[in-house]
Amino acid sequence: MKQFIIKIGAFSLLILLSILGVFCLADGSTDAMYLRFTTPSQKSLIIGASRGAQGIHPKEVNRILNRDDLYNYAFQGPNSPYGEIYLESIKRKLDTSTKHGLFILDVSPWTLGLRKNSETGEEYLSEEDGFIDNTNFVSLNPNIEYLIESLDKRYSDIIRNRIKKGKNLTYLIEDDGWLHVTLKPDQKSREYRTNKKIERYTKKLEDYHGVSEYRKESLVKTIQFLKQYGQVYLVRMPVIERMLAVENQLMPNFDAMMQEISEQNTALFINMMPDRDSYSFTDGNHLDKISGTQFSKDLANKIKILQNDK
Amino acid sequence: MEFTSFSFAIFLPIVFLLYWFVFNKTYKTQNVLLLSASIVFYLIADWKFISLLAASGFVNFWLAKIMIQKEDESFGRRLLFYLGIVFNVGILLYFKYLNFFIQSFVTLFNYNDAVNISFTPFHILLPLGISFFTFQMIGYLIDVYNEEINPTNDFLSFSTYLAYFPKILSGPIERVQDFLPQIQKKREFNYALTVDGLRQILWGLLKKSVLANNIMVITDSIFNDFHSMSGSTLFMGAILYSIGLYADFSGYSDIACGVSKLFNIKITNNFAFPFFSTNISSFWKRWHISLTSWMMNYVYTPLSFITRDYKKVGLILSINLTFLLVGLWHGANWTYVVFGLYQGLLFIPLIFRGSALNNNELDVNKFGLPSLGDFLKIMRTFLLVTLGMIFFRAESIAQASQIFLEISSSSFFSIPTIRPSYLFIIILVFLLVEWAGRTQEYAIEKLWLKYPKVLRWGIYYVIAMIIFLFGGKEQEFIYLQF
Repeated sequence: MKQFIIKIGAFSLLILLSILGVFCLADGSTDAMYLRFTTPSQKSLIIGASRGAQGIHPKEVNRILNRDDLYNYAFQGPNSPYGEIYLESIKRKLDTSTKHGLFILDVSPWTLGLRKNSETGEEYLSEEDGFIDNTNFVSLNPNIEYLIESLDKRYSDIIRNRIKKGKNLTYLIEDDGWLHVTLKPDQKSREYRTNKKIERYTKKLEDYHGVSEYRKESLVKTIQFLKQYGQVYLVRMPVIERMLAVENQLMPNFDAMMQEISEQNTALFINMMPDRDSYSFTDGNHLDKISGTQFSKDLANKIKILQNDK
Repeated sequence: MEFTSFSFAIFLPIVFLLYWFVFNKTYKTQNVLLLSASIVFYLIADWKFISLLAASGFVNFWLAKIMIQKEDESFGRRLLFYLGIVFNVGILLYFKYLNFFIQSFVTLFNYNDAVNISFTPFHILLPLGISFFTFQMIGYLIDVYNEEINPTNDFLSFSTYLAYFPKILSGPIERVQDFLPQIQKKREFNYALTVDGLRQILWGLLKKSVLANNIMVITDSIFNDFHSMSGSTLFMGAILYSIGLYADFSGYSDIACGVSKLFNIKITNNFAFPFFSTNISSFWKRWHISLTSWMMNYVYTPLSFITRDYKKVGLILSINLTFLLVGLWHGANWTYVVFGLYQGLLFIPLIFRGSALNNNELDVNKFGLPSLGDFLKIMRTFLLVTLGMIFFRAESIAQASQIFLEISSSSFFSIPTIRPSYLFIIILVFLLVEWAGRTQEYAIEKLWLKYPKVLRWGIYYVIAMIIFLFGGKEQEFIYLQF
């Protein structure tokens, strides 16, 4: 028995060390989320969904605003940002020692829409039991919890993506949390993706029923929480005309609502939608890399003006 | 808590250490631990129905005890026996088949719009493992009633037999006479058996994680979008599904047997390399062995006795009725009924040849390969099984029919739109290893035992790392739904 325990213990230890070794290789190339759960707590955050994750480059904003602490903590995927689950994660990620933080909240009709479960008729919260919900440790490196509970890939992909880093990798998170997405850049592929996206989002409208009071209240709670630690900006990011038309069907008064929420909660609303023709998109919904950089500069300049006005 | 879950990886070593170091005084203390662990295991998996499991054990234990006290052939004894059968079958009917039977009845009445009855299905949750533990209890009552075994007076051992965690969720459907004697004596630690168990767990995990999980992602993408798939793609999907289902369930079975060996308890291995069968009879002797044995003992044998005067027709009837039940056992859907009937029909040529229950053994040449004739028979059996799997996988008869129509169309000759070549290489390697180890309980039981220890452990290390690195997206074991 003793002999067995020693042998199996040694063998298990070898396996565990090998697994840990693979986990240590996980980085920004692992998937579109992982790296953000491995960095230390942050003083300034970009919050939101995939538009914010891909479109706002902390490096550019930091440079113009003369800071070095903005971190992109926006997530793509079905995890809508404004709710108890995301707020809890933000609370864990935030370094609460700051009083001069910068918080950019990417808002869109989809992040505040009421989505219902077609069977029960109740509000459907897609983030429940999702990766944000299941990741309690948001500053752990390697983040074993995330890798075991939430990584939606084979572990061999950790090694493969690391080798492939820099070439043919769709998702790559930079050290400042910015999500770098590489898709075929030719016009035909863009058009194909745009048409598909418009088609999908038009169909998605069937599941949505106007504004979700829960999402709206959660947005307010998020603002209320963050403003204790700095200035909060709500940002509506640009999309193409056709996508805007779909969004207007979902929430025609979205801009007015954001304005009202901002005023009531001493936040500032920056509507970048009118500038949409200045940018190019990968799929009509997300800014491409070059436009993302430009957009981040433009946004930072607007924030700078607002800060100076104050 | 699934066998492939992180929580089970914590749970099992704890139970193992407690079993051999703390609760190792007597067989009773060992059973106390196994029963407690099984209850915890079931509570985590499906806490809502623990009381049903307890009620099942309690009722069957006492019914068997009281029944045997009545006089042989007496009314009281028969009454108690039938009460027990009604109780067990009733549980199964209510939880698993009620909606199905009512819905089928309503559809029948609404046929041609003669009558218009509407039916909203009841919201009934299916208790985990119900088909497995209920069949064990029915078998127990029948064996006691037929005086093949004496009812046990040991409620602790009986409860352990019923709830034993390696088999509670997806079997095997163990017979009480095989299981109880093992747990009614103190188990001593057996190094060879424990290591054997670990090897079997490793092989089971490889089948489930690397093969089944990766295959099922592909087959799901094919069958969930079957409308837009060509006949060749659907056919390839059916082949992959057969292999995936085998890897999934036999993987589960290997893990269950392996885990049980860690406690020095042997349970039935449900599979014996069925894809190397040369006919359908041989296939069913090697596929889900505990279910087919159960059906053989408690359905086919009595039926064939009743129909013995009708010779071949009686045999056809008995086999087809048995397979109808095998099909229906899997679930409340007409697809399973047709699946069962299809299997039964495949026996008819064998019945006329007089080889319905023969077990064809393979002859191999000096290179360890089968003869061309046997190889073709293996391929034919696999093909027939694979076609049946279309009913097994389909959500409705209409869907299965559409898949068959597409497979029989000219698109069968087109190049499949989904071509997971890496998966075919993995499958090929897997089948070669299975072939090499086909005379053993599981493929790698003795495969590398003659190698030096370092090399052997090196191979186990590589297998473990392959499981970790290439295990596909975590998916529930398919047979958990039954």
